[in-house]
Amino acid sequence: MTLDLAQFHESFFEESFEALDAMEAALLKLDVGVADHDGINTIFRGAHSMKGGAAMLGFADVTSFTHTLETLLDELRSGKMQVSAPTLDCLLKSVDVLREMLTAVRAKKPVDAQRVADLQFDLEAIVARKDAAPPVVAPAAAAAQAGAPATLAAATGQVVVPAGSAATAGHAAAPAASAAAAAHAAAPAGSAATAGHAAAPAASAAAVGHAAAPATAATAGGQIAAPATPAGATNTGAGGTVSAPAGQPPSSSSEHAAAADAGWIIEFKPLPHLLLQGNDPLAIFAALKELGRVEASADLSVLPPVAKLDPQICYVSWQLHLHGDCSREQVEETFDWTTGDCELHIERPGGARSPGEVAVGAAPSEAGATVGAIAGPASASGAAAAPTAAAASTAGAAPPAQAAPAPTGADHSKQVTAESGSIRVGIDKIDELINTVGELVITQAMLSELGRGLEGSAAELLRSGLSQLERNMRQLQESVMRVRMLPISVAFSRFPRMVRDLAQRLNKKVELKLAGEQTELDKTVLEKIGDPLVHLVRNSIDHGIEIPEIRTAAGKAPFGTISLNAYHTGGHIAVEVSDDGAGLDKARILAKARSRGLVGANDVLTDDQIHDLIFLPGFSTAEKTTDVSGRGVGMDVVKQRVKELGGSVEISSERGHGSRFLITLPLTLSIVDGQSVLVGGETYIVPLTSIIESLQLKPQNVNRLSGACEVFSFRGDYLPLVRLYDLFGIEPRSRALQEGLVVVAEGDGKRVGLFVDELLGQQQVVIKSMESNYGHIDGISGATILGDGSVALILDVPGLIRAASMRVAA
Amino acid sequence: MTSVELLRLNDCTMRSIGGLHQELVRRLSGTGPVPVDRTDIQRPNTAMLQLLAAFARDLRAQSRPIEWRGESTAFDRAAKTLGLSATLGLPVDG
Repeated sequence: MTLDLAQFHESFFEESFEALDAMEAALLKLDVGVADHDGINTIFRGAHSMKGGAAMLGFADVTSFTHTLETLLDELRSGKMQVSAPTLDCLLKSVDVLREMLTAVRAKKPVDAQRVADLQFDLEAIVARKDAAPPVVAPAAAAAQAGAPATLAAATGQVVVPAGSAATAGHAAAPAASAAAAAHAAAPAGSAATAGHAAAPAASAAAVGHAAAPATAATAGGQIAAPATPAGATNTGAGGTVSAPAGQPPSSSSEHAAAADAGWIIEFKPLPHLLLQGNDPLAIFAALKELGRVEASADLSVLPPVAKLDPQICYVSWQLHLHGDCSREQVEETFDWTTGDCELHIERPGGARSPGEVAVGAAPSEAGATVGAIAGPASASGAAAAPTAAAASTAGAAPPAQAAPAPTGADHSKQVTAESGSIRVGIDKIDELINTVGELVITQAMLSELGRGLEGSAAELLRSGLSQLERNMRQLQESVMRVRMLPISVAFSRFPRMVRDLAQRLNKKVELKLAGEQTELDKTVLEKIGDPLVHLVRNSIDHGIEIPEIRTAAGKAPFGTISLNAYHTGGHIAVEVSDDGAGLDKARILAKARSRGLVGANDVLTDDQIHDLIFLPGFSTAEKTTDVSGRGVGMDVVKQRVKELGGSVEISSERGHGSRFLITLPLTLSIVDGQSVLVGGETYIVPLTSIIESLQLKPQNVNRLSGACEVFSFRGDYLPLVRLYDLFGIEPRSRALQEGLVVVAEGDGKRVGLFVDELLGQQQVVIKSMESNYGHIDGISGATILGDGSVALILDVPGLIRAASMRVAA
Repeated sequence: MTSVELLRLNDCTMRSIGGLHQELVRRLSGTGPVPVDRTDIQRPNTAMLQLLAAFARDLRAQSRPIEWRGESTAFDRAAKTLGLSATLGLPVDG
């Protein structure tokens, strides 16, 4: 008897894509030169499972590729090879290729054989030469070897993620010691020396900060900067941005009070690449002086002779005695920007250093060498590794239930994924459940309506019971809705990798901050909001964040910050995308709009109106079109998609300081807040998000254009008037404008006035699909059943506008 | 008698510090004291001071003094902040 394996295909694909996400997340956390066994094992298991599943199901291409991948991973996990930046790049590309392969196989389309073969060749070559050793640096730069390639993640800087964000991949490690590596021009191209950023000569590496021209396939990373690590920050419900610095226990009030007068002893050992990150100890110490008197003692023991030193590498370390009554947090805050670029120990005078008081940065090694595990013992080999505090801290920022462990030794605070009980359920079953519950809600509403009309003691008991039923139903409905709810971290998880790659391409330094990742929203909303967010983030990196030189010249930190924040507000979910870049150029936007005839030469627009111009199709003020953005097809799509979800987008921006896009979305697409309106004897529902205003018109306020088109003046514009009774073929209560009301609604950037007989009230209704129950109707997005059992159609405002336009044209 | 060429320091960035480095390497191969004028320094940075500290140390190893000329409050203050005054041969309590 032959077994039909096709029934297992979909499960294989779903599990494989999940495994690839986990692999990518683990890869982005790997540190170059550091054996993260758990991380590599996670990656290996993913590849191994995929190979087995693919082999069983007869997917030969996938089997072959994953076998090669597994071979390389086995070398890594057995310690026969070390992780290098080129290897990491290759592994990340392997994840991309596997995704493409699985997508192609799932769609029964051919795989890109050449791309697969090329990458497979690269993987085999790596295994063959076992060339994953730490970067080979020029002898003169031996002292700076330590600074050498931080992890690939280091190369790309750090992605700050909220503690507890298990789903947020891309815990990039410390900013690359790239320039340090790059400075060692003797390092062979393609070696791990190029890890992180630049394989470019030191000068150019310095010139562009980190992301210089990639010398090899191990391209210089863009940078996702080491984020400032707010001292003692923890994962909050709102999703703080950065977890507590690894190993840094919050200072207690007793500790503070007990030794206030003694101040703090600060051991500050910059990693070699610190200066190239745009950090300057001079500025840091000057800031520290604001907390009290500072005595600095410089350690020049590893400062090489002038003829041998690299002037862009930091060789000096310091011991500082800060005399002042300040908290540890205040001291840590002063060093925020050096997270991942130094070793930092802060203790009370005479206090022993505890494991918890550990460095944000790599462990010391010999002669400027570096990077061992975070807070780990000195790695005598000087093997390159530059785990960063952020890496440690973010790595330690495991799911909320897990406390960020103090990093000790080679402890990178592995992220523990809670194996909570879960079960796969088909979407169709959930939708059916939601639909049935929706019916129950409607039935309950009908019963409540009936109960209102009864009298007597029995009726009182009935109404009491129905009231209880209503509460239970509401609870049941909310619980069922939550079944479809997923945390927005699912959408956010793509960004660490995306920001890394994009910043790398554009030679920019970008710090990504994620917050509110556990905020839940409907699965459909979540799936559809992904692309708009991608557009906004890409635009932010391309047009918002300036290159490091410009930022530095403007007095900004070389690392730009992009923040994604999600939270619940009222009955909606808000998603903010903000940056501290250049902000929108209102003058340029207005000039562009005027040149295109979108705005009159003498029209005076508010800032909000100017900002909204960027949502017009094809509107772009980009000086050149890039394949990242600039074609003007992004922002209009963003607004359109958000509108389709029943949401809205707001912009706030300040030139020179940055921009913020606020997307407001409904929590679910199954219910809608609507305004009930009466047209003739029929009740319709107008989504509240579409309504601007309701007003009463006088006949003299309405002008008739050619044909049957009526327009009326509204806030300086002329809007078309749609008589719904006419559109739907209903006998109205009255055709006289002064006896009815006009609901001004908006859709697709256009406005319209809907003439109705009466406004009945606002209510939340359960949406029933027209398509599945009847068929598509222009101008109608769905239907609902009211409490009295009658059916009310839910209006689709954009569709109404289109339908009315077509009638006029006809 | 060897004429001593004055080394006039200017503000330098990470991008331009290579030039100062080359000059200091050249000066190390000379003889006699090295007069250094710091008057024009208004925006010192750690990279520069680190480099000059190595230079001063290497000169001392050759029994050659570094002779500071001119005045720059910013420079002296920066050196003190970084704990490099003594290495650079500047007044420690400046």
